[in-house]
Amino acid sequence: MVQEDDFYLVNEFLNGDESAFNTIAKKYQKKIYWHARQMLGNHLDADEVTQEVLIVIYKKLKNFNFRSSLFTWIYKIVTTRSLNELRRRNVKKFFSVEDENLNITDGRDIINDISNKERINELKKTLDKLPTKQRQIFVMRNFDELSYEEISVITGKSVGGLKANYFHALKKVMEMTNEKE
Amino acid sequence: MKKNEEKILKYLSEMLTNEERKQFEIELSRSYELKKELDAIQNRFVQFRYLETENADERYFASLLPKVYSRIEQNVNPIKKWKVALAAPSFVAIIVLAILIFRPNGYNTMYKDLAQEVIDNIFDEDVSQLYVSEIDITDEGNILTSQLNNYDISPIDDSAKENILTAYDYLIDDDILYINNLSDNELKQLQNKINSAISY
Repeated sequence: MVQEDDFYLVNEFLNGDESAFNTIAKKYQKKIYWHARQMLGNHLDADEVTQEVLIVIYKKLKNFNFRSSLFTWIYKIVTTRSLNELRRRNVKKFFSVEDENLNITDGRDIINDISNKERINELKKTLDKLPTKQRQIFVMRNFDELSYEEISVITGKSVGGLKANYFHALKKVMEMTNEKE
Repeated sequence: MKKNEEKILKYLSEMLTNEERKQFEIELSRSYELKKELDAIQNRFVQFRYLETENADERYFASLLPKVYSRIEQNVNPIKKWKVALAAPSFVAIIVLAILIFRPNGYNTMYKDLAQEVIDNIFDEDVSQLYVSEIDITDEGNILTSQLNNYDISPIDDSAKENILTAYDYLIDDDILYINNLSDNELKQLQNKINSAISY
């Protein structure tokens, strides 16, 4: 049904109905934002990636051919953009453009959960310490609850490799959270 | 590491063989301690879902689409758009500049081999696919991002994509050091590769 809805919406958009894009954007924008947010760890970068992804969808939807689901296609874009942003950070860090210990904070953050703020910060720090590929699989499994097969289609990696990466991610999270206890 | 931790983590990540998994589930049904340990570990990971809090400001999502439309309109402004003919040489110039500034004194054979692999893995057609579009340039980071972003949606086949990604990983990922170790000759090869792709 979801796939049929998406098929209908994409076709409507390609036939000139701009409101179909609005519907698609509204349907997926939270998933896009939260994935980027877990990967990048702050609102500013997640906001930028979310906007970029929606622009790419708008511009490239005409090339989408339903060989995968729309969700998988969008997910590929957001996960690649998030990884690119992390790479860009590494490049900047390498060229010393950014302070290595810089902690990006944003007064306009959309999370208002003051009561859990300290706990949320601790969890965020743990996630930030995971190597990029382990963080990616941890986010996709743990937050987005995707199957290995779905992740394999999105990332192009083998299921076996993904399992190994996830195992190491879990192990590292355990070690880091054990230290704090 | 606690007694059963390794096994539980393998179970959760589906790393156990069918036989091991069955055995583990039998143990689980018989041992209250093991079940308790599994629950405790699972809770450790579940708590990360707090990061995706329900208590987020909905106004942000309501204001997202107008911002996106505004940026789409800005993007069609010809002043802000650079043609590929200008974008690609700029990218090469940045690489050259970075190498000139940051190149270390000695070369490492391993780095040279990897650099060669990068050069060998970039096919003219593939690079061309990456460059055949207009690219918005605001700073060097955006150039790098834009070029790989075409990978997301470019209609080239999977093996070509894999080659590009592998090559790009070597160049840009955590291994950016490799690019600093290119010799003049290797750099020239890379430049030629990109230049030939532009005129492809």
